[in-house]
Amino acid sequence: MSDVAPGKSLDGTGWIGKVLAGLILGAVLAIGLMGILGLLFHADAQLKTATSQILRWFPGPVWGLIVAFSFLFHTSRQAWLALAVINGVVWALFFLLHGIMA
Amino acid sequence: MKIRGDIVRLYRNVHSWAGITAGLFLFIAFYAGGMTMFELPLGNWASRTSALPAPVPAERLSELVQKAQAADPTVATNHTVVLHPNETSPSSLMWTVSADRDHGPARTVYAGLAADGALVTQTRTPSQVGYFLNILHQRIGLPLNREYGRLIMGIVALLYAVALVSGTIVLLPSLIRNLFALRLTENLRRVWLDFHTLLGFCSLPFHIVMAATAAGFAFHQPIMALEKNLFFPAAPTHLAQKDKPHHGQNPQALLEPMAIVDAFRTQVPGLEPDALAYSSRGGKLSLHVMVHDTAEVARRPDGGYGEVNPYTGRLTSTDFLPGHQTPAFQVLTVIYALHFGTFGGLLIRWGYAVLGFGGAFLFYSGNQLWLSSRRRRERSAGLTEDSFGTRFLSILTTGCMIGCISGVSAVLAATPLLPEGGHYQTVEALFYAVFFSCVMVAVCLGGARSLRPLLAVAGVLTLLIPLTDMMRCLASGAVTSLALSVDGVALVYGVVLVMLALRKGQRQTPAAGVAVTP
Repeated sequence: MSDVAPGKSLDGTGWIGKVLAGLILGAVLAIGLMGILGLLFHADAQLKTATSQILRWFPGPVWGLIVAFSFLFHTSRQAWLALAVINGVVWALFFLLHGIMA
Repeated sequence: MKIRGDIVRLYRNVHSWAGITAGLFLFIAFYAGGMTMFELPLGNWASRTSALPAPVPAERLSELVQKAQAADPTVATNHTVVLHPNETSPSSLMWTVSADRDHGPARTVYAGLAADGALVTQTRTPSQVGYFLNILHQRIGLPLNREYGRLIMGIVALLYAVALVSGTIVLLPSLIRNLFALRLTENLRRVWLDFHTLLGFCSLPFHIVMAATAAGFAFHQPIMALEKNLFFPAAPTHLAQKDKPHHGQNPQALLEPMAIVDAFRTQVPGLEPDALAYSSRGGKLSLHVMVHDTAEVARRPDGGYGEVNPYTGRLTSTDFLPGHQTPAFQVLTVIYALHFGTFGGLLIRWGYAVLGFGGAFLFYSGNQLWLSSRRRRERSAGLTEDSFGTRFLSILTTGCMIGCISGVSAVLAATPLLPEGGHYQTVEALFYAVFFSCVMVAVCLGGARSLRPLLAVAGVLTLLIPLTDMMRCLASGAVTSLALSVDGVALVYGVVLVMLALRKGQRQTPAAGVAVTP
């Protein structure tokens, strides 16, 4: 991506940082979302219910989408920050639900 | 659809790099994956079943099972009663005798009754060719074990998702303008571009389904481990009894096979049991009644199953029984069926095969497009020869892709000659020998110049399939319609490949000439 001419609005500069943010924080985010959905729909830890088996298919595509769209962040810093904040909210919600339902 | 120009430019770059990185793997995955649409017929075609014990009539099934259990007590918890014997499973009773599940169908004992009522058995490994093609597809062409294969497969699945999203973003703004403008001009790059766009757009839904389900498959194992930690346990199960298998000591008597079939038919009218599979799960004998119905949406190409209590014949679970699932399990089945093409019968399977091979060609055209636009840029920059990167990718594109076609054809051509229809290790060795030979030829001759000879090799190897198969048929004296259709398809395909090799020869010369002159 180094051969991209620097444009004024959005270009490939800092793509490694953005993609790494998408790869690492995107995975954590996808798992967190799966956790929330699983709690809401009463998925079980033994993977016997249909819900827990269907949810297994959820994080992969979501992760892929997050990585694909991580190029849209303006800077690598913004990518890490934004994804970290969303992760914080999602995982806080997960642990809240986990606490309420336990 | 309006998308900002800078975003389209950015994603055009993302698309070409993600595509180039994953394209070679995806070609093999789609080519072999298209083949797996016919895994069952290919298995039937490859199987050598003439000498196996003949099926017994329904009323003697019980006698057969009892005699087999008397001869080998472990059979009780591991056997399958075949109710409708066919070419793949021609005997009424079979059980596996090896635990090796990584190489496909395990070593199997086939049992029947002799004229005097004595038990006769034959031990054989079913053809593992179909399974090899399936694994080649799953491991995207790399000879890796399950663990590392999954990792690489996950990376490629992510790259595939990125390439798909970016490709769609690039395509959307110019959709109406460029879609059906197939410009068959002198400009090779334009032809590849238009072709790539048209093919990509037409098979977009298929690729979305494949990318989503492939990403699902790739990360199954780690996600299952995470689910166990994130969710609450279900109602407690009898874990204490898990380590104490006690086969044969159950006070209750097992129902006879035909009694199970009758009980199943009354509980589930309209579904015909195919086989009764007994296995041991957590020390308990469990029975799956397999049903096969090509019209129904099924989880696997070989159909669905209902769980039945082997002592009472009562249906205990319809989670995976076609037509009797809860909506949630139906959704789960649809996810599998969308990947395996196991809905809507033969038409969909052929459609999936065509889309699969079309997908392979999409990646081929993507690589060619990248090569021709890079060559153009290098020529206008004043380079008289291809740069290292261009040469490298050109070699890999021709070598790996045509090598994959040649390897698969070589495996299928060798199948009729191999003992027991081909063991996994044998066909794997053969495939990679042919594959790497093709890559070596491409390295020596260069990508563009090796295309014609390699296509000819692939064509000749494909034409060998009907030759060796007919030799086998004539030797055994039995020509089945299945063999004829496999041979017919291979014949047409081989002729097409050879014709392409000859035609490309005429066309490639001026194109290569253009490529060399700055």
